[in-house]
Amino acid sequence: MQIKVNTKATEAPDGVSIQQLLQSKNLQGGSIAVALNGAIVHADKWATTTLKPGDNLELIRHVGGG
Amino acid sequence: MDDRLEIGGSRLESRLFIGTGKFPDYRLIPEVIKASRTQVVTVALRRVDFDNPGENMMDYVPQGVITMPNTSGARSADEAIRIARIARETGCGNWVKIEVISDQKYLLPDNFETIKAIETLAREGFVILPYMSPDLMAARRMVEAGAAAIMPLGAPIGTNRGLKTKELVQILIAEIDLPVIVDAGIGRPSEAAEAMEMGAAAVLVNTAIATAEDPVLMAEAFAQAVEAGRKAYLAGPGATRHIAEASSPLTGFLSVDVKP
Repeated sequence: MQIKVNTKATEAPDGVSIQQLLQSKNLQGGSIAVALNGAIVHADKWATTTLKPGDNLELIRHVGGG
Repeated sequence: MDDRLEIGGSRLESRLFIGTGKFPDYRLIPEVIKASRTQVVTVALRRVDFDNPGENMMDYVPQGVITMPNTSGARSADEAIRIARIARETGCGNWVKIEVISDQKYLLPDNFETIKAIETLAREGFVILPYMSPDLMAARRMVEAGAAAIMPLGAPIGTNRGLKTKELVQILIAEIDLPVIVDAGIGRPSEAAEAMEMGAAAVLVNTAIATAEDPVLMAEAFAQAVEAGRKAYLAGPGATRHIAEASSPLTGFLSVDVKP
């Protein structure tokens, strides 16, 4: 299915959970925040939140900054 | 005497905060943290490039250091609030540096939007350190709104120009009861010492260290400067004068009579 990750169109397996999507890219929890369609999704809900076509996922993490 | 800096429930030995931006290599960050003896570092929040995630900077920040996300990128109170809430989700505590900037030339902060952001975020339990343009009325509003400290700029971000706002910062130090932390523009350890001698509670330094030829050595120099400046402030410097006053006694001179 087509979803957006950080506004970029991306192919993802149907019914994939946030947790599975992150794992597929080797991204760990603990240093990443996730927002789905503008709303923050807490880490404890990642395994049980499945994505639907057209969903917009934002993955955010720390980088160097002043 | 306990001269630790108390902010947000923490008692800090070090009055030097470090920014983690602009380092040519993330590997320098733990060395700079060690050399500077800092206990607080700022970080930014950005989207992960899903196709090319790259290194995780947080792997280079040692345990035990307070990580303070900034709201860089925010142009309004609403954007700053959103970033702060997201930052808390990344699990690095509840400190936040509010940075609301819509001026892209001088990167001067928007005091009005910053006040609004503090009002909301203080209700949500954040420990708020706002980056601001040194204006006493704005600082008072930030205190009322629930800030934990006030962070006036010394000079625009990244300019290394020192305390161009010196007199306005001195007014804040005299009139604001919260810690006043000079953030931005400090380019040399001597400027950090100057800020501390004036009575600043701490300084935040990023560019001056990250862009030095030897960032680790520069971090060490800044640590010593901040300590020296703080001690000088506590020691109570003597008065300045225009007219000389001899340092050696004015009596009992040895004089040589020269006979022609």
